[in-house]
This record gives sequence, C-alpha cells and structure tokens, in this order.
Amino acid sequence: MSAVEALYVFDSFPPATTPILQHEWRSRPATTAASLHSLYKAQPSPRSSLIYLPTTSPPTLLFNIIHNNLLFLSPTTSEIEPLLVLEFLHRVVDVLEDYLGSPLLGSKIEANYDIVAQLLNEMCDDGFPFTTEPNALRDVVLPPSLMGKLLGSVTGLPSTSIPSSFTPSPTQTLSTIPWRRSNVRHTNNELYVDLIELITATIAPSGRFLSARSNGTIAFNCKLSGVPDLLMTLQTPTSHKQKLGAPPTGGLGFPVFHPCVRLSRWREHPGELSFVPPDGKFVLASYEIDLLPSGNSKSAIQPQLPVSVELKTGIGSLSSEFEARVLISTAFLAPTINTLSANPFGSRSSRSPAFGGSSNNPAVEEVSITFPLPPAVKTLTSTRCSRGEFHHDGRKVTWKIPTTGAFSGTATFRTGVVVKSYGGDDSDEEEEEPVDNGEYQDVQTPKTTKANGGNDEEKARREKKAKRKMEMAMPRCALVAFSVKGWLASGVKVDNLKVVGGKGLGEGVKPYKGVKYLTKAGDIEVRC
Amino acid sequence: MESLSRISSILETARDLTLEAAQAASASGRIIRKDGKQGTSTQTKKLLNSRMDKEVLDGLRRVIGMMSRGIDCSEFFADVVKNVASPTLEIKKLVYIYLLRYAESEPDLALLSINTIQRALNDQNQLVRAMAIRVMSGIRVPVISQIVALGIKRCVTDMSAYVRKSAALAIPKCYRLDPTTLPQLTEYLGTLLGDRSFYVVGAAVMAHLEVCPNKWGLVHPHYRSLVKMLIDMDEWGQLALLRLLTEYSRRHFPARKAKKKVKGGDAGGSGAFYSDEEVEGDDAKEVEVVTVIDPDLELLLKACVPLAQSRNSAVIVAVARVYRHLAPPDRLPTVAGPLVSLLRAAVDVQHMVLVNIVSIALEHPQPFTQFATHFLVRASDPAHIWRLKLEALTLIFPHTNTHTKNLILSELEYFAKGYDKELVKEAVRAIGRCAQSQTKNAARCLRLLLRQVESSDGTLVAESLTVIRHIIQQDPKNHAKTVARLAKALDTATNPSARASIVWLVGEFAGINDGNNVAADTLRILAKNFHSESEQAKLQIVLLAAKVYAHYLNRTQPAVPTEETLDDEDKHPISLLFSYILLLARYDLSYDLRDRARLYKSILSVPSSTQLATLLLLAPKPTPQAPSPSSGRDSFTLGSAAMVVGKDGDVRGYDALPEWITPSRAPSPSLREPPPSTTSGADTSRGGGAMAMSAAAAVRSAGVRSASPRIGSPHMGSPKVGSPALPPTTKANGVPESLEDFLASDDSEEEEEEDSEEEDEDEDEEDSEEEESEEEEERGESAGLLRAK
Repeated sequence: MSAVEALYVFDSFPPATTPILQHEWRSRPATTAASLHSLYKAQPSPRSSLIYLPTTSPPTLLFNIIHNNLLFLSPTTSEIEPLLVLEFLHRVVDVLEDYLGSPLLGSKIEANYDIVAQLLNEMCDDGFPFTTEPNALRDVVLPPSLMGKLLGSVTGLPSTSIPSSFTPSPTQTLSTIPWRRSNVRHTNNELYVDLIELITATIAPSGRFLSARSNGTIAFNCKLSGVPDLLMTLQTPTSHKQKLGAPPTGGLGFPVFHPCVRLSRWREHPGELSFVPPDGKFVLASYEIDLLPSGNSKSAIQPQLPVSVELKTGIGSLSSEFEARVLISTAFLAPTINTLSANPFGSRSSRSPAFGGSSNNPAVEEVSITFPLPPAVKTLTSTRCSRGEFHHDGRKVTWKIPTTGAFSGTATFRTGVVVKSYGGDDSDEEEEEPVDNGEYQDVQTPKTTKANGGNDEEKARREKKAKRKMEMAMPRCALVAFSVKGWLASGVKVDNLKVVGGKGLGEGVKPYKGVKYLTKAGDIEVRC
Repeated sequence: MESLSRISSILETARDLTLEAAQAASASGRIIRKDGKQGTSTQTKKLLNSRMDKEVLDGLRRVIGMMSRGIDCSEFFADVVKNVASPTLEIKKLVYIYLLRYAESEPDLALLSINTIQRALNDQNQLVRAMAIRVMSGIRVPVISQIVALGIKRCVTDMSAYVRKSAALAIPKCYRLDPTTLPQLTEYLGTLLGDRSFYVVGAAVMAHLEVCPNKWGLVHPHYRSLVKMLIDMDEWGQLALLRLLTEYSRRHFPARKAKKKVKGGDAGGSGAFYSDEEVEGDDAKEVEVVTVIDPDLELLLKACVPLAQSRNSAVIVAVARVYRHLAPPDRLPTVAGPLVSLLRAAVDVQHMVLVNIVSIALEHPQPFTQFATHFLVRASDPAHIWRLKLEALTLIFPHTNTHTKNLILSELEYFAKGYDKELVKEAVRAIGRCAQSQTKNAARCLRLLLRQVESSDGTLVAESLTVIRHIIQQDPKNHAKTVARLAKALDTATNPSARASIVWLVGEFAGINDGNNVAADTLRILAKNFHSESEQAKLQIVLLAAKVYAHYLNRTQPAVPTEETLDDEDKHPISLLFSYILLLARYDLSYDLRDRARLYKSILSVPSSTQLATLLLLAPKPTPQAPSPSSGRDSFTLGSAAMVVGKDGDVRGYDALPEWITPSRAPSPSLREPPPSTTSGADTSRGGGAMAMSAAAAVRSAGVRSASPRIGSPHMGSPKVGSPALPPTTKANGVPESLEDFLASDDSEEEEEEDSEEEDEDEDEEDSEEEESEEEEERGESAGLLRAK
C-alpha cells in the first residue's frame, strides 16, 4: 500500500524533459516520468514538496526535492507518511554524494549507472526503505574504485571504465553494528569534528531582537580503524542552562542524534556523547540554542552579532533613497576565542595549517547584505557604496563587502530608487502595482479642485501621494550574510574528545584529532 | 537533522561547486558522444555473451545504463539471463536488477532462471542468499508463487538476520503474486514478528501492515517485546511499528474514564488549565475526569519519548501522532518542542511539520505558546510556509502572555504593510482571527485594522474592511463608534471598492439607536460628490439612501399614513436626500444603477409596500464565520499525506484511525502476555518501570540476535526444501509449548552470559564454515560495543 514507488531524477541544467535516471521499485507506474515532470512544471513556483495530482489516474502524490541542479521526483499513488518519503529522498542524495563524490552532478550519475542502480535497489526493497546507512551500503555495494574516484575529483571526469582489478565481493560478512561497516582499516587514524552554527534572527526596526536562535550541527569525519568507542564532552555556556521551558539537556535545546549515540548516557550526563562512530563522514547531532536569554525580560542583554546593519529608508530630497550602514566588529569575538584557541587536545601541539581558523583570531568573512526590492522598483540610480561592490539582479540587490585582513569598521551603501511609471510600457507589471493607478488620479483631481478650489492643498496631497508611492518602493528588510571561522555564536565548545574503548585501534596509536568551529548567518533579517 | 549533503555544502565554498559543475558540463558532451559510439545493440550482445567476466560486466553496465535512462532493453533478455549462473557477485547483482525489471514481460524465459536462483538460496554467502530471495519474490511471474513461498519458509529460519529481513519483505511480494498463499505467509510472519533481532522485526512489521493489517492476533503475543525493541530498530522500522501500534492501541485499549473527586481548592491549578476542554459546568471543581491509561499503552508512550530525539523527522512526527491520538492532551508538551525544533530543517520538511503543528494547535494551542518566535515569518519563506506560520501564530494568540501578544500583533501589522499582496491579505485576515478568538483583544485589533483602512493600498484596505465587517457583525451593539470612524475614513479612503464597502457597512448599521447615528449624515456628505464616485460606490450609496429612508419610514410610519404626513415627510431632510439621490441616479450612465434606483423608488413610495422593502433591505445578515484556513485538517491522522493534501484531495488508501474501542468490547489484556511464563514474568516487572531494555539486556539481546534461531542454524549452510534435518522445534515455532522451550533455553543462555554464548559459538563452529564462525565470533564481541539506549 504505502510505498515509495519510483524515483526520477531530472537535470535542470540544461533543462530536459527526459529523466537522466529512472528507477522503479514497484511494477511500472501508470504515469510516465515525462508527464509527471510536465505536471510538476505546471505548478506555480515556489512549489510545495508534496504536490497532489488529481488529474492522473490513479491520483498521484508527487514528492519532490531539489539538490544542486537536480530535481528528484518520487510519485506515490496511495497514502504514505510524507516525511518518510522526503527523508528517504534526502538519504538517497546523501548516499549518492557519498559514493559519487560531492557535489552531486548529473554527469556523475550518468557515468555510474550500475552503481546507482545497485544502490537504489539496496536502499529500497519493493517500496520499503531497506538499507540506508552509508556504512552498511559500503558492505554491500562496491564503491567506484579508488582510482576512478581520484580521477573524478581531479579532472571532474568520472571514470567510465570499470576497475580492472575488482575484488569478487566486498565482504562476506556484514557488520553487526548497523551504522558501522566491518573491517575498517586506516593507515592514518584521524578524527575531524566540525561544529557549524547557523544563526537565525529577526531584528525589529528599533534594533531589538525579536528572535535569535542558533542552529548547531556537529559533523564528523571519522577515519579510525577497528571499532572505536568515543566519548565527546561538550561545554555549553552556563547562561543558557536555566532557560525557561527548555528541558535540562545541558544547554542544547531539542537535540537530535545519530542512532549511534547512547541516549541513556546523554540523559544522565547532559553534554556527554558516547558512541561508536560510523566510518567516514556523518552528522552526529544537531541542536538549537536560543540566543535571547529569555523570552520575556526586555532588559536582558541583547545578543551580539559581528555584523550589524542600520537601515534608513525614504531619505533624500525626494525621499527616494535608502541607506544602509554596516558595522563589522570582531572586538567582542576575541574573549570567546581565547578559550577556543586553547588546544583542547593537549596531546598534539602542531596543528595543521588547514585549521588555522581556530588558532588565529576569528575573522568575519563573506559579508554580504541583500535587499529584497518591491515589485514597484524599476531600477536603481546613483548607487554608491563605501566598500565592496553591489549587484542588482531582478528583485534584489546584493552588496558584498570584502573583509580582507581583519577588517572591522563601518561601510555605507546608498542608492536611489526609480519607481515604475504607470504609462504602460510594461503593462504586465502594472497590475501588480500596489500603488494607486493613474485612473484614480483623474477622478481625484477634479474632485479636489472643485471641492477646495485651492492649489496648495492639492499640491500637498500630491506630495503625500508621491511619498506614499516611494514608501511602497522601499525595501522592508535587509538580509545579512556572513561567516566566522573559529567562533560559535552560542559559545558551545568541544571540551574533550577521546577514544575510551573499543578494539581494532592498535595500542599506543594516538589518532589525530581536529576541531573546527564555523558560524554562518543562516537567515538574519533586519527590518525597517 | 540536517542532511549530510546540506552540511557539506555549507562547509565547501560555492566556488568549488561551480567549477566542478562547469567541468562536468564540458565533459558531459564527451560522454554522450562515447555513448553514441558504443550504443549498438549487437556490440552489447556480443559483450554479454563473452566468456570474459570483465566484458560481460561491461555489457551489463551498458544495459543497466540504458535501463536507468528509460530506454527499453527487453531485447537483451536472453543474453542477460544467460549470465544468471555466473559465480561473480557483481555480475549476479546486475543480472538480478535487470530481471526485477523485465521478468514480467518475458515470463517464460524468466522461468529458466528460477532454478539457478533457487540454488543461490543455499549459497554460503548471506548476501547471495538475501539477493536470491529478493529477486525471486520480485520477479512478477505468478506461476512460481509456491516456489517463492517455500523459499521464504527457508529464509525465515536463516541464521543471518539480513536474510531474514529480506524474507520478511518478500512476504508482501509473494502475497501480491498469489493471494492464496496467505495462510502460509501469515504463519511465517508470526515467526518473524517474534524474531529476536530488531533488524528483522522492523521489516516484519512493514510486511504485516501490507499483507494482513487486520490480523491482530499475530501482534498480541509480541506487543510488549515490540514496544521494547522500538528504540533499537532502524528509523524505517520505527516508522512502520509506530503506525501499527497506533492503530493497535485504538483497537485494543479502551478509553476508560474514571471520575475522581478533587477537593475544591486543589482543582485551581490543573483544573483551570484545561478547563475548556475537559471540565464542564459548575461541578468542575468537585469532579475531574481522569483518563486511565492502560499500562500497556503507557509502556508504548514511554518507549516513544527517546524517539523524539531521532534524527529522522518522520519518526518525530510519528511520535507526535502517538501522543496526539493516544495520550491525554496534557501530555502533548512532550512532543511540542521536538516538533517545533524540526523547523530548522530543510524547507520541504518544514512545510510538512508546520501542517502537523497547525493541526494539533487547532485543538490544543497551549503547548506551542512558548514557541511563538519560531513562527515568525521570514523574508525568504515561500507562500505555503508563511501561510501556515501566520495560522500557527493566530492559533496560539489567545493563549499567550501580553508580551507575546504584542509581538504577534506587531508582526502581523508589519506584514500587513508589505508589498506582497497575498501576504498582506493573509496578515489582515490573521489579525481578524486574532480579534475573533478573544473579544478582549478585539478593540486593539480593530484599532490596528482601522489604521490600515486609510492606507493607499487597495488590497490592504479591501481586506481590512472585510475583516472589520466580520468583527462588527459579530457584536454590532458595541461597535457604533467603529462605524462612525469608518464613515470618517471616507474622507481619505480612495480605493473604489473600499469606499463601496464602507458605505455598505454604514448602511447596514443605519438602524442602530433609532436612527440616531451617522448614516444619514454620511449620506448627506456622499451626495455632494455623487457624480465623481465610481459605479461600485454609487450603487452602494443608492442602497444606503434606500436603507436610511426605510429606517426613517419604519420609525415614523406606525401611525396610519395619511396625506398630511406625506407632506411633512417631503420636508424632512432624509426624504429630501433620498429623492435627491434617486434623481441623480436616474440620469446616471449605468443601466444597473438606474434600474436599482427605480426599484427602490417604487418600493418605498407606496406605504403599503414598506414592509416588503424592510424585508428586502433590512434583513438581518448572518454573522460570517472566518475559520482558520486549516480547520478540518485536524480530523485527519497526524503525519498522513491526506492531512497535507487536505479536504480537496481524496488520497487513495487513507483510512482514518478507528475510534477508541469500548471497554466492553476490548479484548482481554492477558492476550498480550507472552506465552512463555518465565520470560514474561521477568519482562513485565522490568517493562513497567524501565523505559527500554537496560543497557546490559540490550547488549545481550544484540549478541543473541545473530544466532537466535539457532536450533536450525548449523544446517542452514545447506538446507534442502522441507529438509527433514530440521529439528521439530523449528517447524513448530508458532506453537506456544515448543516456543516456550525455545525461549526458555535462550533465556537461560542469557543469564549465563558470555560463557554460554561462547560455547554456542563453539558448537556452531563445528558444523558451519570457517567464515561463518568468524563472523559469529566477531558479532559476539563487537555487540558488546553496541550502544544501549
């Protein structure tokens, strides 16, 4: 009944109506891939990830996700839990990236159809998700050979020929741990942890934070031999511990874990993650932290962001300009960094230069401000910015501020707005106009002159109207983007990470351990 | 949890991606050319018939490639199937994939391969065995249904959990092939449901849902062990099991309500909290209705709690479904937080989760009040997301504190001033819903809305007026001032439809306070500029005039109309105004307007028809309802596709959850007692308190699982169909007596811990192949490292 029936992958670059990959788990579906694709395209964008198609026979539930330039469509004709299908599709993407190398491209799939077919066959049996753990799949499906992989990553040309010396079967044995493949051997035992936080915030015109949250993810790249047992201790700033309404999870709000994490340990000792890791890359956990100390108190300290924006609209003689002042400051990052840069793993003093982010002072990078523009805006005039460059594209203008060196200070961006005329050169746009149209003005003018007789009042009215028109053409918010390496907005840090047990890792082998911190602006909205 | 690909894309710079994409784009041309060159079918056939494994593999890769691209490859059938007996695993795999796809179209040729596949069921490699049963059940040739059933029978007792899992998933396929095999299949299913490996049980539950969802008898004896295994299963197994158990609980745990006497003072805290939902009438303080939860249901509810930390959003929603549909509402906060935290995931997940949140909040908004800031609309949200977010905000609005209320209202006001027309509309409607849900805030919302009326944005004004009208109509007595304010807005409002609708509103309330209101005055002012109004507005002005006049007549006419009074009337400003407006309308360009003017004139000119006019013009209008857009969705089962699609769609295969069974019809809880007395005693005493298996138990069971059907295992290396070598215990697996022995023996092993396990392994070693025993050993040891939740 409820099953994932098929998967179709379309390449949207170049756009094509035939799928580059189709795989059906059940008997041939009644609706072809091409017609599903056209029905999908017929939906107005942005599309929901679940589209109900009553016109097909039988009615179809069409699930879709987009990854890079690839469109994944999965039709189902009967009731199914929507999230099951969507999670499964995300898993398929993950596994394909794992096998074929990131980023996943249409050409890579085309060059490895046999592997992809085997993977899909293994991931889903008769429409039921079967083996989806990347490690378990490694036991069953041969990855593209090391040689081919190397070629693929160097030249971008995936291997088109099979490995000459392929082994008869990967392993006769299957691992008992569902998420870790058996017989893992590494010559260099390494362990990399990435803590990534995405800041989501909404800032009111007054500068007050309406909401500020940090969504953290702990990503692992584990290259350890045998079956190691790891223990990671996270340290969270105490200020967040007594958060109202949050469960006592050691400061991390609503964490979710990879199945390998021992939940009982976490429950008893919040902040301690004990697990036997999968081999390779995986996401260990994710959490969210409210950066606003508590929802109610207005006097509470506001969270600090390294980039703050002040947006003024409706300025200039015709009030047709807006200005944004950006203040980049890394000053307050420093105290956090002192604790961070202290090497949490005393065993190894020489740090790889690739990890420079955490040894130096954190620098704010990739700063850009995006202003979504209303449809009433025709173009921008006399745009100038004190630093960086801007790019006006359709309904938004993006201003990129280079931060070479440890730049901190202010930068200004100012531009004038030209409102679309209602003459009617582009009539299709006109119906979208939120402002009054000319037709109305004709009615209004005789009325006012007749009623008041005076010209002044009419003039004042017109000015007011023009001002209103301008108001409708002003951006209503600015979206801030930046990234800071070596600093986490929430102050979470890895206190300790050690191999506490397990087997297969030789005596005296000290794996190299590295931790990186990265904070990015996920969605910071400054309103005005 | 974020998918790995999303995280890695954050870590890698965008430049790398574009570079590689560009390279790939230039390379793709080359690949296609190459494909074209090698595409001839004769060449491929030649490769497939080669004696060299490598060439065969190359040929197969081409065929699979064409297949994946959607090109019909049935012409290669004979050439491909020829290779089914190849000893090379890689070739076998690809042949199987091909067979799964094309066997249906060539049943006769496919039958030739069956023998070989059947032989593969005896292979030493568990992967080959599993593949064999999968492909055997997957080729849709009905003739072989009995062979498939036999194959399943053999695999059900296989010593590899992987093979047993494949066998479990083969059951629905076999059933579709030939429904008459059902009795055999249910027997196997019963065995698999009682499997010791959570790996297998998940698949067995999927098969049960597919083949015989109503055979609850199969579930009863395993209920408690299933609940205990829940935590250790893989995500997909958890999903299937939660679906099964949700329905199971509705059908087998009667909703028992017990009345509990509560002392008057005590009820203040908890009673008031849920007073709307549970307590009725004055005796609320004395009697509180308490839902008694069946201990077995409680077991399930507790086992679900740690699942709320799953990385799989579907599992979290499934847990929410259990709590929404099975637990009393005061336990919903357990799942509210995890649900809301899913909003940090990808947009597609966000959408599904919001649908579920809103449908819970329709009935129980309380648990979500503390998450108001999670529902703030962001500039990047697509329409289907912000619609749901606004709805969630309005639903929790009446239950939040003042601070949050301010936040929500200012949020709505902010969006009401935006330039996205749809968003403006929705925001204004949301304000209206806020006002309606709590009359205390109505005044404030109204003020907010009235401010919008003076805006120059037509959409905003029109939408605000509709909402204002709804609010006023609900309580006209207290809104006389509002009407006056609206009339004042006529001075500034410019949008034609807005003016028209204000005029209509004024007319609608012209009868309040015996005519002592602004209606007549408004009419007088409007009459001045009648000619410059839009047609829409003119129609409403004429209507207003008629209404005002009708009210006037009703007030003055109780006395029998005479000639003298008519003379007086002519002097009254209202009748003067009325005739003036009619006069203006009579010479208007619009036919419609002229017609209407004529109608009103004639109907109101004769005193005898005044009553008719009153009926026509002043009929009380029904109060409009503005329900939450998603209302109705809450009747669907949480987490279903039908809920997302909503009322318009009719999703095939959707069945609403059954109602709670009545206590009188509920089956006895003793059904759920597992047959063996020794284990059950220990289990229940542990199960009541402990949420899941204790750490040691989990590890032990994990250690045992690989060898669980160990009775037959030594022979599993090369069993024959219906082999007499199988000990009788295996055959009688479903029968309680022998199962008791079987489990009891297992149990004693467990207690003896590792020593006995090693012994067992030694036994295995004697009979089975070297590799197998190595595997066993590794399992025993590595299982010790398994996590215990």
